[in-house]
Amino acid sequence: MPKLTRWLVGWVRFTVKNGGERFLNSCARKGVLLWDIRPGPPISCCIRASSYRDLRPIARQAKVKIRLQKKAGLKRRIWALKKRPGLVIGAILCLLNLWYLSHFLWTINIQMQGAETLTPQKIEETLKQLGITSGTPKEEIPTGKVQAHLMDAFPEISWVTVNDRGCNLEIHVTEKSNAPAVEDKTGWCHLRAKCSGVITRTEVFAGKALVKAGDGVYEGQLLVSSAVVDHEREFYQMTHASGKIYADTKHVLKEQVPLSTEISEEDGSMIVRRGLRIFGIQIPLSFSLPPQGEARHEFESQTLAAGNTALPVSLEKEKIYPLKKVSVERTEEQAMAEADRLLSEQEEQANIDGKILKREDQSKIENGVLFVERTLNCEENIAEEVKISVD
Amino acid sequence: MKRKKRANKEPFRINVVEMAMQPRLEIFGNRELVIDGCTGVLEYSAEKIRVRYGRMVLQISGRNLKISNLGAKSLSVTGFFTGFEFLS
Repeated sequence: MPKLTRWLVGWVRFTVKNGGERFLNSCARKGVLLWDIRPGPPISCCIRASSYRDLRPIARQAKVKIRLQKKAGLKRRIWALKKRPGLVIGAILCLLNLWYLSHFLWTINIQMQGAETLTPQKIEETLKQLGITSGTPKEEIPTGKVQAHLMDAFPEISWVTVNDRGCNLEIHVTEKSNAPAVEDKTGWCHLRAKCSGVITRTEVFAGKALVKAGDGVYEGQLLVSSAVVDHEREFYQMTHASGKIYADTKHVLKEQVPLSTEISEEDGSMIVRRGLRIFGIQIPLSFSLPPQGEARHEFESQTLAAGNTALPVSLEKEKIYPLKKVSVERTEEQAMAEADRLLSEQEEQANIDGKILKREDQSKIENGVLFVERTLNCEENIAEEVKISVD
Repeated sequence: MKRKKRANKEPFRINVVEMAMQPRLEIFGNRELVIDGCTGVLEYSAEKIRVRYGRMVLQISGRNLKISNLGAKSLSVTGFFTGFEFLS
């Protein structure tokens, strides 16, 4: 600490010739503070730069000669910098820039806990809608309101905190652990057939079964009634009908695949466009323009970091692969494989509540197009709940 | 009994008064020394420093001796001390 004070105030080192002891005593008596007194000959010591002039009468009285050896301190350093104004201006501008930029948000750090459905990207998108991104003035971030908005926007959040630490916005999100869904057993409802078929077996838990194994049913037919007759009391009792009615059903899926088609293929060239993103503002570093027509884009972004802290500066690289249209001729096998893939997707979408017993494919080629018709024979639960409106 | 108690307190009272009047010497190991109440430097070299110490002269001998601070009535010396001598 004394060293720093001396450097800030400024100090000089000087030498004393001919009898240093007498001079030192005189200085002490006059209250002039000396330090780092090195034994001679000649004795040399340090003094505050501003007190050096006071030494002349003392030296004259002590009949010694003093000579300046070295000057140091902040004032001296500033004096030396006068010859290099660019350096001083640069340093001042750097400090001003840092001071100015410290008023803005640099990074957003989102930490998720127990997250299963929420992602940091979703939170970032919501923050963007609120106008909070890298580069937003810190004064415009009402952390309490942001917290409340996030709670409203995402009901699955159980706890969220938003804190601004310097230029970094820290968001901690904890997601709720959802309770298992309770089956809705309220109200009255019938069971109807969701598709036509022949019933193979019935499992009725509540309500009155109106069909039995071997019966043929059509789509929408009532299978289990919610009205149960109470013979003892001679009245109808309404219930929430439930059960499983299994039936042999038939589904027909159709797909068509053209034998000759046009596909987009890369033409072998590649355009690389680089850019710099500072506080959310993109500065292009490449002058190449994007190609006209179809193209495949690949993005790479590298965020610069100081230690573990991400900076609001990122280097972006965009690779563009121009595409050209190429006509492709398929063989019948290739077209069939493609049709099979598409039909399998349809099967998944059909969401059959049972098992598929048999698949039968029929195909034909007409006007350069392969038509495939797939018949699925299934055994599935065809019961579907239909609520009875009280109104 | 009362006389005995007074006799025990007497030396303590004398020491306090004398201590306040006399110069003080503080030594930290054999590397640093602070003299409070020193009235002047008589001789100064890297091997020997003689200072006026009240009515006596204190001679400090050693190696690489250096006066690190010199004030109106205080002095601090650093270096490797080998001996102290009080000369009257």
